[in-house]
Amino acid sequence: MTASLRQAGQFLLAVLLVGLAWQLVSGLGLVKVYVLPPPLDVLRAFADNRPTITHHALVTLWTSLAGLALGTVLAALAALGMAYSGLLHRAFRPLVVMLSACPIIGVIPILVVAFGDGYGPRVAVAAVASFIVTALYLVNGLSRTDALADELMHSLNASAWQRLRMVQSFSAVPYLMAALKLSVSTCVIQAIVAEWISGTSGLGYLVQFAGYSFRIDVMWAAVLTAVVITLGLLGILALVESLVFPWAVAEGRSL
Amino acid sequence: MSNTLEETLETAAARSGQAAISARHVGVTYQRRGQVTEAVQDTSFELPNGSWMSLLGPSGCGKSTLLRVLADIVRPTEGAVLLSGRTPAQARAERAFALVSQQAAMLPWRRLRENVGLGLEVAGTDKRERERRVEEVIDLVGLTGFERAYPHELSGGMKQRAAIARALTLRPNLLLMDEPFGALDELTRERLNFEVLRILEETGAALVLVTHSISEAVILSDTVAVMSSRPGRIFHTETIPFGRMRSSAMRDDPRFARIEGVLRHKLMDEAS
Repeated sequence: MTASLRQAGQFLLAVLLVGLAWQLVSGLGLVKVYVLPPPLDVLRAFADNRPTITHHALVTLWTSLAGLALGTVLAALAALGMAYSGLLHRAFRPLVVMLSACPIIGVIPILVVAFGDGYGPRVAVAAVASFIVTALYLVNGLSRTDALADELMHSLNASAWQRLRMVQSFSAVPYLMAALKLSVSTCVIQAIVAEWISGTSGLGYLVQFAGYSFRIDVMWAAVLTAVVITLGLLGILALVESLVFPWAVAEGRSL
Repeated sequence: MSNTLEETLETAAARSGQAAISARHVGVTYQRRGQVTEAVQDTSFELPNGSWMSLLGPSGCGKSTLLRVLADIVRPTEGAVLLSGRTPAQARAERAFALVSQQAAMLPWRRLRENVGLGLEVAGTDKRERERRVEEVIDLVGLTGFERAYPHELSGGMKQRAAIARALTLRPNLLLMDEPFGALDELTRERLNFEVLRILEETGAALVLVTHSISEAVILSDTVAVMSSRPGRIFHTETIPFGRMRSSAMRDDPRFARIEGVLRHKLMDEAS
């Protein structure tokens, strides 16, 4: 407990130091204010535009979460298929890898044509991002079980379904958690990029709108809000992991 | 083809009566990248019901492979094995034997009582009966009070006890143990040796123990089969005269040291 308190203190100290350096750099005019406004200005922009920022932040939050949920569920189904069928594995794993190399952002305008300029395309982009990471991690997690556990289940004459239910689904948990931690930040970023390109709301839209109206302080406030959203989600994930899967944390199996 | 094999096995079963194990001319050959390794060669032995036997030998002598043949993990390339008249596959399907491996193989996401109850859960035993038997064996191996602990909260010795408890829940008439105490310190190991003795006497199960510890083999066996390496085969069998009256006092019996000496010489002669 004292160790984690000290860690939190050190982190806050680092934040303060960075903030101070930032204040000095832009406050002394080393960098033009319209490139990097001082942090106090940004904080003031927060205070002055709180309802606006909150509204757009919630839009981005829900878009990212919807994308994360959709992508994770689809990835779990795909990974189960690939873990149980060599044919599916050989056929589809390369496709998932190809998808990861595909600049989805480039096809957003087409998605807008197909699904309209509502939430559809933005959720889809976030979902694809989390799908790729989670599918690849889960295939590994489901197929790489402990040889000892395999032997144990074999000697107990367990069925394939029992192995999946009692061993594989659990040994995949650390992989799932690792994938979720990676997905969270990419989902938020992808949602923001999609909003930037096609949206009429959300932090991405706000960044763009503030930029056009030379409200650089609001722009930075929106960017910092995105950071806070991602960190908050990561914190919730870590909390859930330690409450629901204490063994995964304790065994150091958390990747 | 499979029919004739089954017939052969059935006649073999009739011949061997109902010995806990009857192994006839067992051979295991591995083929990896064109290289042929003979892990076990022409090995035959018989283990009466309720009797205890050790496979003793240096690392890599095929003793684990032989045990894995009994446990239906490895198929013999020659010969056949019968467990109380059944093939290893049949015996496994009936959960007639239980395997305790070198590492405890506790599932990290299960609390102790859920790990111990795993076999019963897989077998579909109803919940109330399962809880009763789990409680019973946890008491038998002396882990009462730790039912809710996760494996990472237990010491190596406790995990190994839990693995033994898990094996006992299915009330097997044959226990197969593959260096179950190899990863433990000497004192814990010896204490567990005598605990296993007590449990075997209480349950009446037969035992095949794979070990490279001479004293462990003497403590826990009616017969010790000494194996040579490459190709692995049993080249000496020693009968242990202590009957069922075993306690830590047997270590001070002059016969104990004499048998240990004989076995050590057999192993060393083979190595040179």
